[in-house]
Amino acid sequence: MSPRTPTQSQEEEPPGAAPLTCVSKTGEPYTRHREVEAQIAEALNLPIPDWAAREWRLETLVHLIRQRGRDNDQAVLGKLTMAFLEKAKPVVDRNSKGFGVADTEEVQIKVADKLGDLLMQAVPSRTSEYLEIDAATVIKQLTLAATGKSRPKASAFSTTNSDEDGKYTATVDRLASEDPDPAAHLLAQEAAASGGVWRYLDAITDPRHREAFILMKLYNWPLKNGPPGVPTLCDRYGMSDRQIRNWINEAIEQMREAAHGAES
Amino acid sequence: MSRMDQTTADDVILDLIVEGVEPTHANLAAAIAEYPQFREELEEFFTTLAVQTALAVQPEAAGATVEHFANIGVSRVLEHNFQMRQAFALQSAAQSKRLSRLIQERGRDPDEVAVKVGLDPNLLRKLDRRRFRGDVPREAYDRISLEAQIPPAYVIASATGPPISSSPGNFRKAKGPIQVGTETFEEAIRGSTLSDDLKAFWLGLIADKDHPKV
Repeated sequence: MSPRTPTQSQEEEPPGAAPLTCVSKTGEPYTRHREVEAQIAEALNLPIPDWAAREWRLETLVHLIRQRGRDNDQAVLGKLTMAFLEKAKPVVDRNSKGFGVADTEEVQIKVADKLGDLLMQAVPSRTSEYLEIDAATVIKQLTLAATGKSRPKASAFSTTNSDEDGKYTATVDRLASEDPDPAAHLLAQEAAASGGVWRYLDAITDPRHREAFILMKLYNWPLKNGPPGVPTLCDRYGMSDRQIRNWINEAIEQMREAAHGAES
Repeated sequence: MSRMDQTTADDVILDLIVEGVEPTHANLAAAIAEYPQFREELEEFFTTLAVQTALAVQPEAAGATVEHFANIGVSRVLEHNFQMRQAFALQSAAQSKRLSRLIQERGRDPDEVAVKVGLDPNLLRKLDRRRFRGDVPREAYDRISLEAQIPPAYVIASATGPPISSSPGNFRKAKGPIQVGTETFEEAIRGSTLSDDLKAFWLGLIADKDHPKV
C-alpha cells in the first residue's frame, strides 16, 4: 500500500475526513490511503445507521469508529468496532504462534484491550494515527509486544507437527553441525522460508531452547562477544555459552527425532 | 502539528515494522546503535519477531474465538466512550458554576475556606475568577476539595478556563474586547497577605518539579 503523494491536486481530494496530525520518521505528514479517503467520503454520504451493514477496509473502520465515539452513538460504535475486530483477529493469530491455548488467549485479550485503547485514544499518537494508514501493521506491532518474554508464560506448546513427506530431514541434520559457515545459515533460512525446517520447531519443548535455536541458527545471534552494547545469547539468558550450546543441541535432537519419526 | 518531538520505543518499532526489518542480529545492532535508550524494547521486539517469523502458521488458531476476541475489544471501546461522556458531563456541570458558588452550596463561607486551606480570601477570589495564568499546584485544589467536601474534579473544572471579569458591567461599557488581568500563582502568592511560612510552603510546591500542577 502506498500513501498518496503530496502532488495530488486539491480537486482530486475526496471531501470528508480531517487530515491526520502526526508525521513519519522522515518528517512526511501522515496521510491515509486514497481508497480509505474515498471510503470515508462514501460513508459520510450515507445514513449513519447504514454504515454497519457495509464492508469497509480496516482503516476506514478506524476512522468511522472514532467519529461515532465522538458523537456518542453507542449502537453504531459497537457494531463498527465488532466488524473491525473480526477483521483484526487473523492478523493477531498470525503473530501469536506457538503458545498454548491459555497463553494465546491471554495475548489476544491484551491485544483486544490495547486496540480498544488506541481506537478511543483522546490525544493522537503516531501509533494510534497509523491505524488509519495501515491497521494491520499496528495490530502486528501490538501482538508482538503482547507476546514478549515477560508476558505470557509460554509454558505450554503445541505438539509436533506430522510430516507428510519427510523432505526436510536433511536440513535438520545440517543444522545439527556446529558449522558457523554463513552458507549453512543461508540454507537454514531458505529451508525456513520454503516451509521446511520450521515445521519441526514445534517439536522443541522448551520455549527458551526454541528461541535460542531460532536466534542463533536463523538470525545469526552470537553466543558471546557481540558488538558493544548489543545483547548476545549469553547476555539474553544469563547462561554460559556451554549451557546454551547444550540447549541448541537438545533442540536439534528433538527436531531430528520429529523429522525421523515422520519419515518412518 | 508535529508529534515527533518525543520519539517513543513504540514509534521506533512501528517504523521498523513498516520498513520490513529482518530480525537479524546485525539489524538489532544497527537499531540499538541508533536508539540506545530503547535497547531492552528493541531486544524484545527483535526476538519476538524472529520467533514469530520462523514459526509456521497454525492451521487452526488457538485461544479465543473471533467473537470472543471482538467482544473484549468492543467492551473496552464502549467503556472508554462511557468514561469520556462521564468526564464531559462532569466538566460541563462544574464549569457552569463558580468555585465560590460550589463552596456556598456546601454551606461554607469561601473566605473561611480560604484561610483553612492556607490561602487568603483574595487568592481564593482569584481562583474563583480563574485569574491565574499557567499552572497551580494540585495541592491547592485538593485542600479546597477536602475542606469544602467538593470532588476535586469539580474544583479544578470550576477554577480553570477563560478568566472571568470582576463586573459584568464592564462588558456592557466596553467598546472592544475586555482584557481581564491575570497573573501567575507565584506572583499572587508573593503579593499576598499570607505569612512567610505559608508563602514559603506554596513557593516550595511551585518550585517542586515532582509536585503535580494543574
